[in-house]
Amino acid sequence: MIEVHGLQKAYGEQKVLTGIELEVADGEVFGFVGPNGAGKSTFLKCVLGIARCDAGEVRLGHGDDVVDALRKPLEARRRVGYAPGETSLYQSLKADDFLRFALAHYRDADLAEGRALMERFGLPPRKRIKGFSHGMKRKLLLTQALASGAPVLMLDEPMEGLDPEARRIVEGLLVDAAAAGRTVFFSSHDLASVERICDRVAFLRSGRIMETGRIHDILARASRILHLTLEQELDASALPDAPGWSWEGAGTRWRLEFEGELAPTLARLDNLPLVGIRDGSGRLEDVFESLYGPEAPDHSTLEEVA
Amino acid sequence: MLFRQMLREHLFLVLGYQVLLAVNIAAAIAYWPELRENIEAIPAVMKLIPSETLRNMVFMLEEQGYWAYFGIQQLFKGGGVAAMVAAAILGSLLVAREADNRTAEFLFSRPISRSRLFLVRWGTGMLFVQLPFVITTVGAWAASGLVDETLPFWMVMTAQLHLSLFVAAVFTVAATLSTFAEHQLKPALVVIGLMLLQLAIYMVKDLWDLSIYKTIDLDRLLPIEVGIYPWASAIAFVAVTLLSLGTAIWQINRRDF
Repeated sequence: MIEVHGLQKAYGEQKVLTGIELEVADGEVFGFVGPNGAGKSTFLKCVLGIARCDAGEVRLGHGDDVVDALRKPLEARRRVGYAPGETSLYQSLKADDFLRFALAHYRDADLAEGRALMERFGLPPRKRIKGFSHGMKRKLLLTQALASGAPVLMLDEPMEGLDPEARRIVEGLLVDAAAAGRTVFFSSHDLASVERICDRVAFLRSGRIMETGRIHDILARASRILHLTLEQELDASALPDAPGWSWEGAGTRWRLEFEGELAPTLARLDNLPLVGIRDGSGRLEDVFESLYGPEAPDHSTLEEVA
Repeated sequence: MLFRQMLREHLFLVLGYQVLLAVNIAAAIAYWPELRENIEAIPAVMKLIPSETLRNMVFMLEEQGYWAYFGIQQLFKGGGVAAMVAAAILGSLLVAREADNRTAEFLFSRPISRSRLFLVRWGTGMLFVQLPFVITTVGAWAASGLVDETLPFWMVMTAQLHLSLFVAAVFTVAATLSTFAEHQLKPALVVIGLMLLQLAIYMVKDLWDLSIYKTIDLDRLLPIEVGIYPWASAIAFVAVTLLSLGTAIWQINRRDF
């Protein structure tokens, strides 16, 4: 499990994480989604003590074996199999030597499992890493995380650079890991993978979690969202209202979250000078678009963070 | 595993350094018989030597013979220049290389404390710097017999210990700077630059007391023969090493990667 409360991190004046709240249960696959610079990698580094956080609480482990990660970062790292997003590795090491090096300090590491995974990924164990492609390095990083024997897996962009076949294998491995009771937490831009294998997902923007929930619930909620483009600018007071409706936006671009059926909702919008209307049903990518796209509320206030 | 990983990363650098030290002393020892034959001619050429510091070295060579020659070639030159450069480079790579090559995130995500990780790497790097230097000194001591010279082993090793403490201090200072740096060779360039400045100061007779090189020159090494060990310098080297080590451990534990 992973429990994070009030996690904050700033680089100088720039706030990167502003009070992150998260709870991930044992055996859960959790996706962490956000645009570049949202703070996903910084969050992972803070949880593992690779970067120091300014405030907050982080607890992780499995069952009753839970540690305070900020006070005991070493104990926390023993419980986490981590694959960083950065694929720069020790060029002069052979893949098998790297695997042994990576697993050397894990108590429950399974070198045989790691070697079997390398074989499954088609990684040549005696080849030096300098001859590896980006995708091969990604697979090697995933291999060592999975073979660490740690109850929590934290993976930064695990699907990035992988071919479809490798993605399918990784998705299967992560689902299997969760089925075995391990907590799987990964950041990703690959929303299709997130949608396929995650139980829950959190959307991060500018260091803040915008939304957390079960994939099913989020998709259901997205189907009750309409994106409207108007012919002329209107104030919020000029928009129709109904119980359970909430409007966000400004000028000619508005986002309506409604309750109930779609048909009567559309009927109530008849009087608006509509030039375009789009619903949010469909896929997680639509939710992502609604949170981060040009129609997203407060988009103009988005600031890039490290 | 950390030792093996570092050995693989630095193998060619360490081998190159070992070869450099060995070639330097082998050539010096091979030249000694010719110099010994003509040592009476030294006073005649003394006035042609531009630096008073070098003249002083040559004077000691004439006075003390092979022990001074050994001290200049292997200890002052080998330790004060070759080993110093190796110490600066290897110390510089210790942490900054990980940051520069973007491997730091992976390394520091391993379940091992940063202090322990740094100390293992510091110890390994120290071994890489010191072992070739000591091996070369022992080899040079043994090879001295080939040119009909003998030096007491204890005396050579005591002088070697003094130079090793000097090199340890340089290495640790470079390693400490490395914990602050993003670029892998910047600390080395800073340390080598400062040491070359020290060497330049040493070459000026009026200023040489201000140079670090005064702590490892023949004035300090030759008296070891009569049992006078340069304790003050040695204690200063140890103090710099320990202070730097403490600073490095403090910094490595607070740095974000």
